[in-house]
Amino acid sequence: MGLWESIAIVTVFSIAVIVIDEIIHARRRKRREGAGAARAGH
Amino acid sequence: MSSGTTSEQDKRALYWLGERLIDYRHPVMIVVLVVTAYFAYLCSQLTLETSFGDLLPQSHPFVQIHNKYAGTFGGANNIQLMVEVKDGDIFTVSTLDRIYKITEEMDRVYGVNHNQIDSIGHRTTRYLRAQAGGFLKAEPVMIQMPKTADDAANIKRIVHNTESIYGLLVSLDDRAALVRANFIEARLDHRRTFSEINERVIAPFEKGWIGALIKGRDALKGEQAAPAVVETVYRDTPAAKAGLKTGDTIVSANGKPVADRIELAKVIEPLQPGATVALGVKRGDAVENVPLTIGDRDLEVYVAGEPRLYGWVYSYVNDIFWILTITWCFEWVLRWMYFHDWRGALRPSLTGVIAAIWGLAFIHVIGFALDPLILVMPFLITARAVSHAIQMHDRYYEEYERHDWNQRKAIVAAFAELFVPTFSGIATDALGVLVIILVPIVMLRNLAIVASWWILAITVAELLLNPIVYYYLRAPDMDAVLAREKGWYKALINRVTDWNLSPVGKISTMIFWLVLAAIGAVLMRGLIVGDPTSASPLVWEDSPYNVSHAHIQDKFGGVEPLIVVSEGKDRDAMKEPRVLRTMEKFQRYLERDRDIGYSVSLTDILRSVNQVFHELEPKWGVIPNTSRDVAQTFFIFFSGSPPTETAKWVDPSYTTAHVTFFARNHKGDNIARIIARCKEFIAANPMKNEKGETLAEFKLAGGLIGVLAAANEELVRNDLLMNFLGFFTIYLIVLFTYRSWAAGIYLLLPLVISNIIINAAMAVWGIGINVNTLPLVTVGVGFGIDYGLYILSRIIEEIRVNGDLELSIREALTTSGKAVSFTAVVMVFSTALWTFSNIRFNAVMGGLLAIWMFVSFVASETLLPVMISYFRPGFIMREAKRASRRPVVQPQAAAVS
Repeated sequence: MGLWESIAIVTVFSIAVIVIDEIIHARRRKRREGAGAARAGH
Repeated sequence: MSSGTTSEQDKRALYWLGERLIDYRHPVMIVVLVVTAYFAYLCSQLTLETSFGDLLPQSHPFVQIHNKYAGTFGGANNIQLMVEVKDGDIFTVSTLDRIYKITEEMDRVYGVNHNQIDSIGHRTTRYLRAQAGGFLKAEPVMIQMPKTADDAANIKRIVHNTESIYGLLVSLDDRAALVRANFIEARLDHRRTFSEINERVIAPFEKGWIGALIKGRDALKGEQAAPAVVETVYRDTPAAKAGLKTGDTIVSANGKPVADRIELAKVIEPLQPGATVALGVKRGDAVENVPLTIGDRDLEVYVAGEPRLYGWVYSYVNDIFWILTITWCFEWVLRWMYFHDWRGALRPSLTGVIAAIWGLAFIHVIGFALDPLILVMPFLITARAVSHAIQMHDRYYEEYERHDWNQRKAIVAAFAELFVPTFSGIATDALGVLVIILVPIVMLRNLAIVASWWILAITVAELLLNPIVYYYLRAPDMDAVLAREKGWYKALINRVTDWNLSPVGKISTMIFWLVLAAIGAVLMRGLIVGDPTSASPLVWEDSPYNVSHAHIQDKFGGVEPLIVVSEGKDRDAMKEPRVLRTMEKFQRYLERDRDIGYSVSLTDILRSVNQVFHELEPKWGVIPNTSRDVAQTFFIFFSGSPPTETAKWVDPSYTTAHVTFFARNHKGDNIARIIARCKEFIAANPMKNEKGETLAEFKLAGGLIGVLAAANEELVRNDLLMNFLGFFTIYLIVLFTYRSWAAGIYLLLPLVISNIIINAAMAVWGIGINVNTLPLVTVGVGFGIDYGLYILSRIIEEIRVNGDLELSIREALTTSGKAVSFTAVVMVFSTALWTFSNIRFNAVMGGLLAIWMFVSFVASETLLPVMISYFRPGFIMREAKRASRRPVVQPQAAAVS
């Protein structure tokens, strides 16, 4: 493995972690907002 | 409230600084990024190389002698290549032809000193031949390749009758021949030497051998195509069985075009015995397809010597990329799990990368090159960067929650509260490593400057850039911040802290560390300077290099040179029988040492020529009685040789010569003993005439053993000093940080204990202090000081608020201590990955440093708080008194607590 392969792998990996994290948090926010709206509806 | 012992005024200033940093974020960001971009460009210019001279203490008298005479008598950069036949002896036409060609190819390798090649196939290896009329003439053993079995038998007779060849260049069992080549230090290019020896010297004659001599490329006409013409086909070989004939041209092998023997060998080399290769053979105008079955190898080639060793190290250097890749990915996952948010995973990477760019660019700016053996060092510095970044980010989340989810206030508060411990930690590391500059070895001095700058560069990322970057980035979700306070990790930290601070825990901790320190102190006495084994510690024991090295040592007794120069006061001093007898006596004296294989000098030639001159009567195998007889004897041997050839024995004016001893290994203690014996002999045997005037003096010492002796002497002289100065620097910075004489002692004690334990581990595992290990060990002195600083600062910060020591310690351990433990665990696992490196040195040092980090972390987390709890130091307790006297809040600074 050379320098550029190494840089490519770590970059792709880091971006993947960021994207997954954002998706997870977005879902949580949505769920929370949904739950909040439901409570408000009551 | 505040941390460290910073006064309220200082603290306010830090908050003000943090606020201004955010206000002026655009210009600061642009400046940092522009400079970093320029440095990134400089990084691309970096080269990876090892300068042999930079590894030596140039002011040491041994090295000065080495530098003065390396060009004539041979230096430390020798390659020894051994050709060993599997059956029979080397005196067959096929084997002798290959030895001749191997020698010829070795002579063409870049950087070889053409007058310092020893081999029975080289023109400078001569024997005495009686000619018609009783004249004696020194002639090369092989002026050309032998053609018949009679020629081979004649060479065997010559070898057996020549004292300076038999046993030295041909093994006593006739099964191996040695080709020794000395390299010009200024022209050393380890990667090029390594590949040229593999491709040109070894492959065509060992694994790529088909039983026929194929024409090679003309060294003087590199660009010219050299058709792979068959020069000789040997009997009972695969080539003969396949029907190859002299004059055939091999144009392809398995469909791949080949132009010379190197290209042919590249195709043949990977094939196993019994495999068939289809050769395209041109005879006349037609190209025929000739199948050739690969036979068993009939000889093995082994290569050792420093240039070869470094060649192997360079060949493994790409290990670093997969280690870094796995480390990066592994750490990202861990940090993501710890912070529950990608921002926490990113921050240490930003800090590490920016510090690395600044550090690597500086290496280029000062004209230094990266050595593959110091690659663990940047990794360690990056570990520090990661440690500081994790602390800062953890604090940012803590402050974010505390400041009612106000991002700006949280960033400023984290910056102001952790500025002192972060900066102290960085300054301690930077100055601690700078003490290496005192060792008079260029490589270590450069390394000290670079490492120190690199560590300081952490401040750019952590105290300038990151607060701004995290202001630009959207703040994390609240649930991510709150999640840090829950989960099994937090529960584990709480439980361990509770036990550690319980009465039983405190006593157990104290006893445990005391016992461990005592055991370590006993074991560390076994630590040695230099290499502890005969195998090279840079590569693994079963690596091709060490296997070759061991084989050559077994066959030839010793191959690592120690050159002692006999420096005359006047011309012809080396013709004085007294001088020559003392040199001979010196040889016999030191050969009695168990680690000296054999020796060579001018006197060996003199004695054998004298004997041949007197009809081989053994009683004439002595040094002649008068300088006139000596001069005549020299004339007989040297008269047919150009000065460039004779210079390897004696300079043209006969003022200076040398005695070269070949040592069996370069273990540190053996080198020290051999040098001590040399000094004893020299003191007891002055080379003086009847009037008491000095004729000549022995000068120590060149060759690998000589320069290693010099390096070891410097390291012994500096090792203790390095440790002392390292600790002293830490003490001074802690003194200024906490304005307390006692604070340094509390923080240093865990470090001293972990240093004792690591030195003991080095002694037990046979890791010696040498030019490669010293910088790592010195950087390690400060390991864990940042852990201690963060914990201690937090204790002070807490006690200013609650006034209760026990509560403050507990709070510090479950906040800063938690981040410390996470950092340490991550770094220990990452550093331990180095143990999978093919470079044994990097693997061993990686493993050792992982243990070091672990011990420092455990000592800082357990021993430090227990000592503070037991002894209730004044510099902490006075803060508790102040806390009870004053109101807590400072309008701007203090909303934090």
